Parts: sequence; structure tokens; C-alpha cells
Amino acid sequence: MALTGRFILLALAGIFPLILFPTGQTALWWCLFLAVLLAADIGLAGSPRKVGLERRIPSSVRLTEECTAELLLTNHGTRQLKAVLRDGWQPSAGAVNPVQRITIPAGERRLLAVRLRPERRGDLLAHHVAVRSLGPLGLAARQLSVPAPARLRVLPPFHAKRHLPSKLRKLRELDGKAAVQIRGAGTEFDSLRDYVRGDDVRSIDWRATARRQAVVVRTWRPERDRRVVIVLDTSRTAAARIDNEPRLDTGIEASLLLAALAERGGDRVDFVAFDRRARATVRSASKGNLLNQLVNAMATVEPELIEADWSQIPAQVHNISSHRSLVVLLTSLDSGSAEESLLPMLAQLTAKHVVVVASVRDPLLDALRAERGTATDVFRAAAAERALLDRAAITQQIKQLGAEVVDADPHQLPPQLADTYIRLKAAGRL
Amino acid sequence: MSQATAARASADIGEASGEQTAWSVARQRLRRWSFWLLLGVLLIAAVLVQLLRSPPADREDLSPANPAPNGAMAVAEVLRQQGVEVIATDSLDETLGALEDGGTLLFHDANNYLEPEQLARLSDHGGPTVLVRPGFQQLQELAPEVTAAGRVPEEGGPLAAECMANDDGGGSPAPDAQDSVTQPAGSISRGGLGYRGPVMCFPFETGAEPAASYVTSADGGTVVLGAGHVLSNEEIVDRGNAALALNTLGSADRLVWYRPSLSDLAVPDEPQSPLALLPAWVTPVTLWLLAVGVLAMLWRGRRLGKLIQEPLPVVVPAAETAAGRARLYQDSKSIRRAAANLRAATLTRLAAKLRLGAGSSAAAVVDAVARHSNRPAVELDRLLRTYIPESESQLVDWAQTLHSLEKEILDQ
Repeated sequence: MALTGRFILLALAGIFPLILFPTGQTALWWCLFLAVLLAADIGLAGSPRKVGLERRIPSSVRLTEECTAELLLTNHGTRQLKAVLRDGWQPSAGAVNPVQRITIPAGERRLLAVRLRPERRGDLLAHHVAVRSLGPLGLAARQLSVPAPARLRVLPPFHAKRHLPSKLRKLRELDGKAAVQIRGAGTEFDSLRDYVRGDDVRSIDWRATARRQAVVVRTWRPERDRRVVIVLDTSRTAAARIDNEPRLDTGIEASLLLAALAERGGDRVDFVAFDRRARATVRSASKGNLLNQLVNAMATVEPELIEADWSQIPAQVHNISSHRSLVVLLTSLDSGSAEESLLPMLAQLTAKHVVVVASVRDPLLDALRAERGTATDVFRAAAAERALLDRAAITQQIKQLGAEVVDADPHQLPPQLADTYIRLKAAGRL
Repeated sequence: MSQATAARASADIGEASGEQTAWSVARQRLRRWSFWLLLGVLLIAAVLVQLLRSPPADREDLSPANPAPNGAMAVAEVLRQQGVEVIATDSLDETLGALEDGGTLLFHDANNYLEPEQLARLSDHGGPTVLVRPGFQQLQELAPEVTAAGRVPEEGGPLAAECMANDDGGGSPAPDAQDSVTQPAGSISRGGLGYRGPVMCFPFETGAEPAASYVTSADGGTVVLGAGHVLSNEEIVDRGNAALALNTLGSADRLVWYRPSLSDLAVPDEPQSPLALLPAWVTPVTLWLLAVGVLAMLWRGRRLGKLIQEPLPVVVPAAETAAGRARLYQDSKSIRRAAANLRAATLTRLAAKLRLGAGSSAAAVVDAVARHSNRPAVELDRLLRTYIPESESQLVDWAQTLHSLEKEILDQ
């Protein structure tokens, strides 16, 4: 049950009879009057129990985009339903108009559109719809929270998409498909074509030239169908925020850009999110759009507050591909957590695969170390320097083990990782 | 097709919620809250029982039913044991009724409840009267020959039992009747109020005329007991207090102990409070507005639907470990360690900028820096290698110089 403002006004109006006849009896009569009206209004209100609910939710939406969740309400009762509804989305679903008024005649159906502007990646839930059914006089209402579970999957935003065209152009240049002055890099023979000025004379195919009147050059293209395994660390270090974005989200952006690029480059991309066990996996063998599968798998990945078990990674990678692959580890290079388990495992991995360790660098540390105004600032600068030195030492160790390191600010990490991929591909190291 | 399944699904929902009627929900809520309801009822019941069982304890000054130090239960009980019938009364009519059979009247009205007319009615009774610490009006009506003389000064010893007749300022000895009452006491403890009257016992020194804490009228029928504390449980055992109290109050075989109460207050006829001058509707309308206020709270306070929960993410700034380490350095005054960090980092960056390779020594870096800057090599060597700050201020100065040197080289 719920009261309305109109009922309060009516109750307030009781002061006029009280001024005219200031006795307890007047008050009693007015109370009785109010009680009768209240009972009648509640009795005549449409039953919220007889509302049929049906939801139509978009299958998924990208973070930062808006969508509409539709709610179909059917009045199964015999009375008109005049109600205020509240769609019970959790706050981070960002419902713009969760509370709406609606009137449904008996036996009819109406549509309620709730605009959602999600503020967080992952599965966002709604558990119920609160129905406050007003009586014909609008004095009081029957209220009920009708269970109506719903789930909206919010996909990672993939802001790094804007880097994709430029990186793809670079990749095409490698491929020899774009008009460039140099011959296509790579080792795999692609085709013969007429010599154009500027081509490397070393690539002239003399045998083919002899058969024809014109000079013919060979073109190569980079290897295709190589394997790229992206391992995303979801352990406790992924929860740390850099530039107000969890490390995990930056890792997701970088993985998506790399995956999109590698797929266009003709390589096979596998993805695994891992801490002590695989939290999400996408296999290149499966059918369907890779990017779609990736964003769906990544949507629900959250940092787990446990330490990562790197010793299992070689086995995981072997499970995915027994061939030589490019293994990209998206993790953190903090001293302590990395030294203990990451480094011993890397030696195993680099023996068989090409390994790239990508990590987000905290721009705040660079800001802290330059700040030297007071004693506190200087101590803070010293601590930041220590963190950076430790990081540099670990980077050095990783490089000595034969792995590549990409260490960049959050918004720089995805393009730099893509650049590393292109460089490795160009060098034929995949 | 999908429409059909949807229709069935919604019908299912309708049926499922149809099982839950309003009554069943109300019953469920009652069951859920039954423990607290029961607890509340039990608490209220316990409080009520406690209130009903123990009547409010008597805590009044010099009340014959008060066993506390400020009460006078002891003297009343002893009198009863001595065969004196002690009747405690708290209204004028009751008192007058009790006095019809004769007896001594003890009148103690600390709050001045009685009006002059009521006091006059009381004075009509002819028997012996003891006034305990009477006020001005009480004296006027009940013992007009006695006047008040203020408080008994605190300095000095106990009051001795000397009685004297006060014949216009003279100091003739008192009648024997008073002596027989007061002499056995010998002396009483000091305190209470002083009075002046025809016969004064237990006098105390004053600047002007003599005054005493035990004054009787000329005929001895009315006793004004300024030293009311001699009756109290706390002081009855001191000195001759008990003897004085028992002799004064136990002269007859009945004692009516009258302490006026609220029931003696005469109800005034005219309106006294300004509230009564307001129109009649003000009070009901005020109450009504309060009730409407409560209703408005219910109206605004009703939530639309159940609470919705939001799982919140962990928020850990990544630079927190560095900040924590900085505080550790500062708290433990690790100036050398901080300096070593700053020095190592600067040397590393300078070596990288000057293309010296990772393994180059500090001396090599100093040489290279000296070649690239205009600073003397000695100063650079001190700055980059040998200088060790000892205090925080030195550390700050050195760190700033180091930073500016680094910027100078790196920006080239």
C-alpha cells in the first residue's frame, strides 16, 4: 500500500471543519471519511498481481552506447490499471527513465520503453518491476514488486578501434597489396608482376624475364596462418587502477586491437583470460565472427582477488597450439608478483614460442618522480624511482630471456602492442 | 511463434504471482516480524509490570515514610514503638478529621502549598502544634508572635539547650515547662532556620537581637522548630537530637504528621496560562497538522519497489604501493636510501641519453655529463657520486639540483 500527495492534501483539508467545529468529534468524523475513501480507493485499484510482464532486451550493447529495454505489460485483470512503474535495473545500468506512468485498460497490453546508458562492462541485472497501482480517485495505491529478471550484456567499448585503420594500412604495405616502393616483406612467394621503377633489382626473376619481353619481379608476402595466443592476466594485479581505468580494461582494449589486426593479417587468434584457471576462452577453431566472440567472452571477465599461477601457462598454451606461436602475455610488471612466478615460466615459453609481455605503465609514477618541492615530495619521488628501477630491472630480465616487452601508458598500450605485432610479422619471426 | 511463447511465458508469470495473494503476503510479513513483535510486546509488558508493582518511592524531605537520609522514618517509627499513634496525612481535610480526636499536629509545608485561608482553618484546631521550618505566611497565621530570623550561621559548635523568655528584649529565664522538654537534649547539632519569639531555646549568636532554632509561643502550645534537621534519619542520632525530637513530638499519644501535597492546591478560577486565551480550534488544528505531518512522512518515505543491489568493483590506485613506500621512507627517515634511489635513477637515464650502455660505471657517466654540460667536473662528481645528504632539507636541495641537471642534459 502507498499513499499519494492527493490523500495528504485531503487530510490537510480537514483543518477547515476543525476550525469551524473544534471538537474531537469533528476530527473523528474526518478520519472516518478519509478511511472510507482510502479503503474504497484501494479496493477499486487494479490488482498489480494480475499484470503479465514480458521483457525484450537487446542481446548486447557496447559500453558508452545507449539502448532501449522494452517491457510489455498485459493487464489480465477486469479493471483498468492506472499505475506508476519502476523498472528495477541496477544503478550502473544507467536507466534514464526507470519510473513511468502507464494506463492499461482491462485485457490490453502496453509497451514501456526504458532507455539504458550502461556505465559498466559485464552483465547488468534487473530483478523486478515495481508496480504501484493507483485507485480511481488517486488517493492511494496498491504496490507490488513483481519478479521480472533480466540481463543485459554490456560489451567492452573497444575505443582502440580508431587505431585499426592505420595499423591495417601498415599491414597491407607489408602484404605488398598497397602501392609501395619496396617489395613485400616476408619469405613466402606470392606472385610475379611487371617491374616498376624503384623495385629492388635483387627481386627480379630472371627466368621469368627471359620468357617474356618485360622485366618481371617476384613478390613475397608475409607468412599467413600463424598462430597468435593472447593470454590476459585476470589476477589481483589486474584490479589496480591506472588513469582511473583498471589494468584489465586496458588489457582488453589491447587484446581486441591485436586480435582484429591479426585476424585481418590472416593469422589465427586464440584468447584465454587466466589467473588460476581459465576465466574465458576463445578458440580460433570455432566458427563465427572472432571479434564478436571475443567481446562476448571478455564482457564478463572481472579481476579476481587472487594471485596468478603462471606455472600453468605453458600447458595452457600447449593445449591451444602445439606449434610455434606468438604468445602475448598481458600482465603487470610489478616487482614481487612478476619475479616469483612469471620469470621462471618465461624461460620455458620462449624456448618454443615468440613471447611478448605487454604491461601498462603508470603515468602517475613519472609525474611523482619529477615532483621535488618538499621533503614529502622527494621521498615520494624516491619511492617512484625505486618502482621504476625495479620495473626496468624486470624488463631487462625478460628481454634476456628472449621475450619482447611492451611497456606503455594506458592509451598507448594498444597501438604499441599492434606495432610490435607488425614488426615481428615483418621480420618474419612469427 | 515467438509471440505465442511470450504469451505463454507471461501467462505463467500471471499464474505464479496469482498464488501470492495480498492476504498470504500479509501473513508472511506477520510471520517474518512475529519475533520482533513478540519481543516488543514482552518489553512493554515488563515495563508496565515494573511500574505497577513498585509504587513511586517516597523521597520527600522529612517524610515519615522516607527511609533515606533526608527522610524522617526513624523518628516516626520510634514514636510508634513508644506507643504514640503517628498518622501521616497529606491533605487539609484529612488532617482536620484526624485532629478531631485530639493530639499533636506536626505541620511541615516546605513548598508553601497552603493558602492563608487554609492555614486559618488549620489554626482553629486547639491542640499542641509543631511547625517545622515554617515560612512567613505560615508564621503569620499559625504563630503570629514568632518572627523569622534567617538561617543559622554555619560557624560554631552545637547549639546548647538554654531557654529564655523574651519579654521585650529582656532575658528572663524560661518557664519550667520548656526546660523539661529541652534540657534532656543537652545540645543539638547546628543548622536549620532561626526564629524569634516569646520563649527561645537553643539560641545562637546573631549581630542584633537574639534568635533561636526552637521557639515556642508564650503558652507553649505552639512550637516552631527551626532545626528541622533534628528529625532527619541522618542526624537524629547526633547529640541530643533524638531526645529533643521525641520530647517535642511525643507529648501526646497521637501525632498527626501533616505534609500538604498538590491536592491542597486551590484550583484557581481565572485562566492563568496565555494558551487558554487562544481560540478553541488552535489545539485540535495543531494536533491535526502533526498527524498530517506523519502521514506526509509515510507518503514520501514509501519506496517504489524493493531495494536494488549494485556490486561495486574494487578500486585500487596502482601508485598506492609507491605512495606507501614513500611514507615508510619518511617515517623511518631513510634519507640515504631515498638519495640512493634518486641517484641510481638519474644515472641510468643519463647513461641511456648519452649512449653509454647499461653496464657503464658512475664515473664514466660523470665524465660524459661533464663533456655535455658547462658545469665543472668536480661539482658534477660531487653531485652525482660522492655527496650524501644528511638531513631532509639537504635531501630536498640535492634532489632539486639533480633534477635540474637531468633536465638540462635530457632536453639537449
